[in-house]
Amino acid sequence: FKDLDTLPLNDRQLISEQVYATEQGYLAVLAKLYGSLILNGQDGPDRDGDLGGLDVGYSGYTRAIFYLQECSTDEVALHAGSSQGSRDFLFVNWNPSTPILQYAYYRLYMTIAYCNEFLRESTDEKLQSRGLLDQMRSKIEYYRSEARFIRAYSYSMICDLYGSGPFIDESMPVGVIPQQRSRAEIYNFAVNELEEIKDKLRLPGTNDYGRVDQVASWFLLSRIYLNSETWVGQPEYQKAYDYASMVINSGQYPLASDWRHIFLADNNTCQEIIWPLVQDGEYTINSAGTNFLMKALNNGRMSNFYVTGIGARSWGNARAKTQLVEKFSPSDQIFDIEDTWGDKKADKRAQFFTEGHTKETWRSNQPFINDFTNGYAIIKWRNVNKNREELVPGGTTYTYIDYPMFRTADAYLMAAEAILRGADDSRAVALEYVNEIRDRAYLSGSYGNNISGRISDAELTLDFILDERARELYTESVRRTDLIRFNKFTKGYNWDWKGSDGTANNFLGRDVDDKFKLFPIPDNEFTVNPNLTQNPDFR
Amino acid sequence: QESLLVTGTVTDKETGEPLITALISVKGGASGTAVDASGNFRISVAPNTILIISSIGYKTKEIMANQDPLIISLEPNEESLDEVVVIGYGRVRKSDATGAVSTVKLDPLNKGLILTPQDALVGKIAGVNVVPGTGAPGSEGIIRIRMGASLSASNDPLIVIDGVPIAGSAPLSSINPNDIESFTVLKDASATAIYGSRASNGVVIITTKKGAARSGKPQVSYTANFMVNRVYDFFDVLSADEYREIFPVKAIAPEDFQLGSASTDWQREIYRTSFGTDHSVSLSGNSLNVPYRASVGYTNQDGIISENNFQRSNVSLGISPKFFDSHLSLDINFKGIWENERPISTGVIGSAISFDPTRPVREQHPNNVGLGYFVWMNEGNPISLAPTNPVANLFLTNRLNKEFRTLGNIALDYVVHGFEDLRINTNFGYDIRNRDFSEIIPDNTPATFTSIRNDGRGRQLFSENQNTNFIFTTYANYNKTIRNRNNFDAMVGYEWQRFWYSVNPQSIVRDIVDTSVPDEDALYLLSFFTRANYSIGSKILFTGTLRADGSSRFSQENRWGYFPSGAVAYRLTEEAFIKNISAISDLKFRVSYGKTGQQDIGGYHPSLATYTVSTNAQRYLFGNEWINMMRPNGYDPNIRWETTSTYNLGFDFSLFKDYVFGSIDVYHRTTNDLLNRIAVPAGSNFTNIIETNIGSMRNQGVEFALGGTPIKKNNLEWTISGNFTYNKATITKLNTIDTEDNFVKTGTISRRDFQIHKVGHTPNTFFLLQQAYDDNGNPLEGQYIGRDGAITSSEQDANKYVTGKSSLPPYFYGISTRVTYKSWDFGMNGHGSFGNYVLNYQQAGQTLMSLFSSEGVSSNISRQALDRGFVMERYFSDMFLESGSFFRFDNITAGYTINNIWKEGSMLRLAISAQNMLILTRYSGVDPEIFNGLDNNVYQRPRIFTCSINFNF
Repeated sequence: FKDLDTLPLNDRQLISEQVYATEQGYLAVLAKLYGSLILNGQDGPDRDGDLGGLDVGYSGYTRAIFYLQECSTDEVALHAGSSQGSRDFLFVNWNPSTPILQYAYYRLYMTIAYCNEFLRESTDEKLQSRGLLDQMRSKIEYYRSEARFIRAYSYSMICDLYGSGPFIDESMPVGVIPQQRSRAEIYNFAVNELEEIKDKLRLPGTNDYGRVDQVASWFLLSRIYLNSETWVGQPEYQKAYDYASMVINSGQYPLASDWRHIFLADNNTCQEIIWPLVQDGEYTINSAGTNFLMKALNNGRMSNFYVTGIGARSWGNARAKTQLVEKFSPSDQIFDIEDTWGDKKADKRAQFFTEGHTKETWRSNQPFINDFTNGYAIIKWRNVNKNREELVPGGTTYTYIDYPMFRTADAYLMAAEAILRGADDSRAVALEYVNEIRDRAYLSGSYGNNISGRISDAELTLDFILDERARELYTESVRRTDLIRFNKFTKGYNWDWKGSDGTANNFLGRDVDDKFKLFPIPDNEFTVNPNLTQNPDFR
Repeated sequence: QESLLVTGTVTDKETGEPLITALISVKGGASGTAVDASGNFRISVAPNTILIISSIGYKTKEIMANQDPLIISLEPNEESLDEVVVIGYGRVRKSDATGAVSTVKLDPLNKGLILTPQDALVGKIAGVNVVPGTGAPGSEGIIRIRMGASLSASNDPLIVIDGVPIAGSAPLSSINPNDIESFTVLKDASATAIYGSRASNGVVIITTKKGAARSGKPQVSYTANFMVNRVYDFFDVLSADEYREIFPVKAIAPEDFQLGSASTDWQREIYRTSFGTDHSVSLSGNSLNVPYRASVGYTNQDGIISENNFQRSNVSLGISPKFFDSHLSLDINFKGIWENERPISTGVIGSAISFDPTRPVREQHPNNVGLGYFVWMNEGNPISLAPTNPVANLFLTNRLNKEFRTLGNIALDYVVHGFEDLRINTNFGYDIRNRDFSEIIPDNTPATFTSIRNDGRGRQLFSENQNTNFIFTTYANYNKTIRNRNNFDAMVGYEWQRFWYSVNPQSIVRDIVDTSVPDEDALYLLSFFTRANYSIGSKILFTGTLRADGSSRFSQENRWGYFPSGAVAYRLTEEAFIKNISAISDLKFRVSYGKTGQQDIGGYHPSLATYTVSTNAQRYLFGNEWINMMRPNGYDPNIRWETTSTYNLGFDFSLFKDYVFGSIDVYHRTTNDLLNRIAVPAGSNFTNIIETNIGSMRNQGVEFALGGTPIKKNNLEWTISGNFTYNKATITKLNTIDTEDNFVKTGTISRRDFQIHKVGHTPNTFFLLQQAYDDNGNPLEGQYIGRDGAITSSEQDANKYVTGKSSLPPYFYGISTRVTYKSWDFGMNGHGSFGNYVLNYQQAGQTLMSLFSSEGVSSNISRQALDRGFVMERYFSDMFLESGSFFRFDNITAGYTINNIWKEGSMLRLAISAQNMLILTRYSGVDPEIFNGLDNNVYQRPRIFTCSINFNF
């Protein structure tokens, strides 16, 4: 009968006693908590995925929120992925069975479950019983705070994307069916956790690269407070401003000297990134992360015109909508084959590829079709180094660009916006924050000698900040949150194909139902969790 | 009074085989005994006692017990069809069988071409649907007994070879069909429950051929087949000239885009007429009272797709000596199989259909790109999103699958000295497989620019797979005849099984560190089982069985499962009032009920909380250190068996001395704790989807089998048999919360799910959009009739409907007939189904849009697509769902036999046969017999012309 107690023979399959027998085991699980937000499984490329029954390639977190936060907005039109519901995003007409919706939802809850497990297994009692307490006493608090940070981040995104949702923490055992919590309760949990751990994380700049310190918690608090009025009807602009200025003033993560450096293969040398999710051409190979961003936004043909750093290996299915292109001046919009980095452009952030492409994302008298030349391509992400050289001739198959989850420029714009929305500081301070960003974008002022991009006080409006955020942060997956905060997501501002049914000449955007400010909880949840109520007006 | 120990052997007078069903009783006395499995008996009697030797189906004989040993041969009783059938852990007379059991013996004159064992079962048994393998030689057919009892767990029946249950994953195709004596299919729970946790999907017992029971000269048999395989049909696409005409009109391509100047028929480039041979020699006999049989077989088949080849060599050896006065019988079987397969990727089928016919097969590109084969290029760079030249794919990729397998068993059967009613049987069996797979894609082949790393670097894949399975079984059997007429037979046994596998993959790409990880695991199964049979005067028969199985797959709490069954049979022919009706030869009613299980649910440790360590290809950086991440895996600590309860009502009959015989079975089956892959409440586990025991399903069916010999004259005999099955499966529970709107998606191609499981419906029901048509009956592209009845263009699930059409066939049938006239014989076999549906995905993918992609690649389309005029792919339109009803003429054979060519007993037979000559169907694709109902890159079954020689001496 002993035979029936056999354990896995594969040394890659461990039971928890084996995992948590050493400090290295704890670190390996902590690495998974971070990895869960950028990678998609335990083997690459796209193998042994974390999410079952879904396409592993789609299931990386940053890719999943790219669909939700970019493809639903005025920035990106997707020409592929129709089997996963990308058209529902293009037309802003999703429903609980739209497949793409599920990826972010389940990825976030999976990450929360991983964090809960780590917190259950890293208590002092558990460490004591495993004889590790003395050895790990000085570090375990940091580890646990990072796990709580990642969990709070995940809940903040649930709050943003889905509003309310099930709630589960480390006190509940595996298998328990979670209860639903309201949007305000989820918001409060995230805020309380962050306020509690912000001093327990490592001091600014003292943690390993790839992990978070106190600055990341300040940044996240600032973002949550900035959206607080929209999410839970409770204005918190002062707190948003306070934390944003703490980020800026900490000095550990100064603005990069050139905006373009933030999206390159050696961006680990650019100090602006507060929370980088690390990517490598050999160790993190998959169809998520920056490899996805690079390949979705480019296509093979484009490598004949400029150095992509990945040769002609791109897929080319995501294109800029006309509204994004038009946020830049007409002279900056067009790609110059003689100046592939846009050095001659005024605003260096206007990184589009236009050769052989129409600016329009449509074709007259045709329904929406998968034609990758409809719409300009976005080329801000490049798998080359600051010295503008490829890592190897012909480029690498996978990217080395670290994903900037949080970066300081966003804090500048959050600070300025918070002031305009009522935080206690002068407009001049807000204007200076915005102009600092614009100086860097134009490589003028303290960043260089080019023509200035500075704006005047009269030009500084909330609408300007919304547009400036698009110019600064496009494809960095904050756009939908911004448009909702400015109340321009469902009505009053429209973009290509929004509200359309995709038929010929039906590309002009129109208002859509306000229910689309939230994503519905995926329909699968209602087959197994009796405690849930769907978001309003979704069936 | 002095008593005398008499021993003896009872044999069949015609065949000389031991008659294992004989009963010995003392005339005028109460005592008696039964023979053992070798036909031997011993009994203590007074001198000059008269023994009555009887056996159902044989004329009873009386003999004076005045010599030792007694050699008794019984003459078959022409009035009764009575054969012995193999059941789990034993055998019974067919007339005594209480369960739904069917036996297939290969008809040497009308078997058609049988390359894998499954082929022998196609269309032969009511209730058993066998979808033959694809056109790839060596490919395995799929066997479904009563539609299968599971959803996401395996639906394959348990296969038992000479008493050794083999692992579900082990292929049957490695067994040489020429070594198989018979197949016995156990369908109802009364017959299968003795196999407990693996029996829900029925059991197929394969008995291999053995040496002769009677001493005699060695018999040599040689069989050879020579085959020509031809393509059944091509997919209808535009020719190069038509394409040149159509392209400028229909394609959305830039003005300066140039078509090629070649005219290539890509399908004819990949397909060919191929040849195959198959040889088998066996030697069998009985020397020094040791029956033996040895055989050697060799098969070499080329597929109809270039480069595809399958070779198999078999040896088998079996001896069955007896010792100690036949008290100890030994049965030793050994088989060795060597396979060499060159598989191909079926992706070439689709690429050959759609590849631009104006492009050449070969073209020289700079820097040796493509190694002389055409590659799609853009300004000197290969296009990574372009399709790969299928011809290059076939000829430049080198795939080889080498397998060595050995399986065998040693069975000891001991009749206890001095207590001959008791017999102890012990069986050691093993099945060891070693498979080496290799795939070599050289640098610069077209595929290296469109897949792998898209940079011209080739790849070498190697994989070593080992499976080692052992089994030990022992049981004791007690058989007692009471008062001459009633028989009691009881058996109790124990079984231990171990399944072990290891996989060692390797992937070599220049300058890339290999991150492949080996895998290894073991599964144990422990069982106790018992069976009791009681028969009252051969008239009323009772059977009861019970099995307890323990599996290492499940947690301690759920480890053991108990599977009981009971059955009663009533032979009306034993009643006086029927016995006198000469027209009725046999009439029997059977009723049974039982529970069986299903434990083949994928992983070996689904109930255990485990962590997976990531490979070097997925790591996270902390500072300067790349860390292999450890992930907690989702698990279900409560996972357990699926349990299936089956009621079966059966009726067997035989009329006019077997002029007509047949059976009818009706069954009702319920599977509970059905494993289903369902969503996990978000956050509650380390996965979002899990297999758990949640569903229920109900299956019902009626099976008819009918056979007969309408003509039986001196020179002319005509036999015909057929079977017909109706079965229906309905899901009754599926999810934690079942509502009108929910279902589980399945039937996936390229991330699109075409089928659903839904409560109240058959599994694998198609879930599609209802196509809208204009007044002339032409489909309106992208227009569907929504669930509210209004026209919609949205392809969301909310607009799809449950079609009520499934890929599972509710009705299927088979027919087999043979005429022999003097030395000639003609045979035909066929099978078919109706009520099942096939999605013509291959056709649905054909659109005007695919003529040209914005990557700068042109592609061919079908003539139908041109007529349809759809610009975009409308995969979910129900216009692509077609009836899959068909009837296939499996084979038509004509043979000529010459007996006694140079000496007594020698025989030569020559035959020609045509396999798969015709499929009667309205399906618009090539062949509708597709198991999952999804027609996508299916390797079509060829027409095969065979010339066979069979030579015995």
